[in-house]
Formats: sequence, C-alpha cells, structure tokens
Amino acid sequence: MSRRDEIIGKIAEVPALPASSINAIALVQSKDVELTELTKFLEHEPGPAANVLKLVNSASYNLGQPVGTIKDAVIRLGRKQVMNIILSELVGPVTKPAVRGYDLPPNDLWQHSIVVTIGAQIIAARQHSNSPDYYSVAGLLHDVGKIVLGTFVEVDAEPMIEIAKNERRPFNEVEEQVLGIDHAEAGAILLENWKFPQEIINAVRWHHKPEESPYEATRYVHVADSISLMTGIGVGVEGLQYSPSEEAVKAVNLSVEETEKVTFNMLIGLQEAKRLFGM
Amino acid sequence: MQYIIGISDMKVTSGPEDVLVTYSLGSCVGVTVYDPVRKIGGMIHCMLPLSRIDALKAKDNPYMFTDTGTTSLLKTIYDMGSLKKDLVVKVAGAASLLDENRLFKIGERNHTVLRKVLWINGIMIAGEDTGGSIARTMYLHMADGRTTIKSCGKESEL
Repeated sequence: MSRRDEIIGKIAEVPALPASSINAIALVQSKDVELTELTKFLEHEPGPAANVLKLVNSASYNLGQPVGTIKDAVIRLGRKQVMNIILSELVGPVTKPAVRGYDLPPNDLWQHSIVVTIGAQIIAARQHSNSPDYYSVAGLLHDVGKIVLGTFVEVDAEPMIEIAKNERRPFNEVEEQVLGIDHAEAGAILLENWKFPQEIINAVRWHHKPEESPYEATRYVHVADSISLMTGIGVGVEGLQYSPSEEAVKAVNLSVEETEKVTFNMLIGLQEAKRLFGM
Repeated sequence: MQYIIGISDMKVTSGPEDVLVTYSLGSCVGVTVYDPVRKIGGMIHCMLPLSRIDALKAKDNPYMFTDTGTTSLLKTIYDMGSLKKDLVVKVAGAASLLDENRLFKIGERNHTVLRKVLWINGIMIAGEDTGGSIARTMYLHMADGRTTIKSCGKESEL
C-alpha cells in the first residue's frame, strides 16, 4: 500500500463533526436565513448564544440598555455577525488543539483560521462578491488537513521542511512529493467524507493553487491565507515557505496600500475575536 | 522574568534578569534596543510599515506600525534616561513568502521604513537578521544585553 493510500485510509477513521456543527454549516449556506431561524438555532446552542450576548453588550455595540434576550441581540448584531460567531464557535474549535507534527501550539491554527476567514470576508466585500459565503467555512477549515496529517497520521513535517528550504520550493509541493498527498488535499478528502458542499471542499483543496479552482471563494481564501502566513500569524515550522498565486492576487486586484489596509483590518478583527472568545 | 511581546506590542525594562521575547516574526519587524550603560532594554514587534493607514489607531497603538512604533520605542528609552550614543539597536524579520514576482511587499517595505526612521534618528543598526522565507523568534537577554534569534530550531546571537 502506498503512503498516500495509507493516509487516505486513516482519514476515513477521523470522527465526524458533531451534529450541531453540521447544522450550523447548513444554516450558513442557506442564503436567506431568517433572523428568527438564527434565534431559534441559538436557543439550543448555549456556547454561541453566550458569545452573541457578550458581543452585543460589549463597548463597541452597546449604546444604552443592556441586551438580555437572544432575539434582541440577533436583531442588533445582524445576520452576518451572528453567523460568524456561530461558525467560529462550532466549527472553529476543530482547529484548536496543538498540531504536533507541524509544531503548532494549541490555539495557533485556530487563530490563523479565524484571521484567514476575516481576511477572506474583507476581500470578498471589496470585490462586491455576490457569490454565497462559502469562503467563511472554507477559511475556518482550510488547514484542517494539517490536523489530519499532523495528529491522525502523525507525520513529522521537519524533514520535508529541510527539503523545501534547501530547494526553495513551496512546502505543499514537498508534502505531495514525500507523502503522495499535501495537507490541502488531505483536508479536502476529510470534508468530502463529512459531506461538505463542493464549493467549500474545492476552496480547501486548492487553497495553495487557486488557479485550479473555478470558484471565487478559493481565491479569497488563498489571498487571505498568503497574507496571514506572510505576517506570521499561525505559521507552523514551515514558516513562509509558500508561493502566492499571481493569478489570484491579480484577480483580487489590491494595490500595495489596499493590501496593507486589508492586513491591518485582519489584525483588528483577530484582536476582537480573541477578546470575544477569551483567548 | 520573561515578557512576551505580541504583534503590535512594546516592552521596555530595566530588570536585570528579564528576557524579552517575540514569536513568529514573518514580514513584521522586531527591533531590540539595549543601553549597556544604564542596563535598560526594549523591544517592539510592528506589523505594517506606515501609520498613515489609520492615523487614529496609530495614536492609540503606535506599535502596529514600523514608523510610529520605532519612534515611540526610542522616545520611551530616552525618557528613561538613555543617551543615543549608548544605544545598541538590532533588527529581525521582514521576511517574505516564496514570492519571486514580488506580489506582496510588506516585508521589504517594513525593512525600508525601519532603516529610514533609524537613519533620520541618527542610529546605526548593530546587527540584523532579515529577509528570506523563515519565521523568526527574537530574544533580548537583559542579563548581558544579548539579542538572539531562533529559527527552524536553531538559536544564534545577533
């Protein structure tokens, strides 16, 4: 059996997401989810509900009377903000534990995933994108393959980094050469097993090679991921050993100054998320 | 005591046992300043070159930006009694992705702005480890004023 087949076999053994996470993903994909539906969902999810209330009563939102009910909080915060909290709380934690083989301490990959999601949302908004918001879930899970490889397959990334550094090649290319599969494909196979929609699987599969994907979401995740890796947020042992895609970067068409503004807003967004989730 | 300097953060100290550390410098720049006469030291970790992106935020937290961050660190050190001629300034970071077409320029721009601000302030860089595609951890050891860089599991003095 090849290393690749062995790894794919192991991916099949990864336990499925809890039902509440799957419901949250379904909820977010339905394009015109009503505020009442969100409220109903939150009434059964104490974790995200608490954070929705915490945010609405924080200094940046609360203008007077404290908000005590979920219904009022949802109305005040709006759909997008509430869905972000639900996703970050229910899907994000998949990336919370340390990833040993990739030398990521606890919470590092989670922070990186959140900052990439924020970045993808900012870039999509600048593009006036009308496509459904697949990039948020894809952003949160784009590196889930590192958990698959680092934790479940117990791959040691160290020797692969040596090769990548010595030959000045992107780390994902070396993963593919050595293991027969890179972390992007490993993540995509996992999400396929978990019955995720094609657009999300695709964005995860091609987040280092966005020119292979027909979906805009992939480009947004790629550019946000590149910025986050470059600035050093949630980088593993492989450091900045990745190549940005010229096609994707040109497609989102950000000037030097705009890129720096996006980067700035990604950091501000991360700081808010850290406050909200008590990190 | 060890102090961790996060992204967009600064710390100065005169504690003889203290160690200042900042992790995962990518395209960001880390700067250490050490005054061997008065045993005062400081460190910053700045993310973006120019504060004009958000002047208001820069006022609130100058350490997000290399221009205001560096100026502000120097001012803090001078306020503690240090003299320019005594300062030992070392620099790390300003890395980039494997980006031959220079699609992203934050690392090189951080480096340029940092050199410019130090030049304007009449300060020479005593040591630097910048560029490439690696993430770096930077330490300032107050016991002897050494700045060290750890990258890919290896630590070396700057």
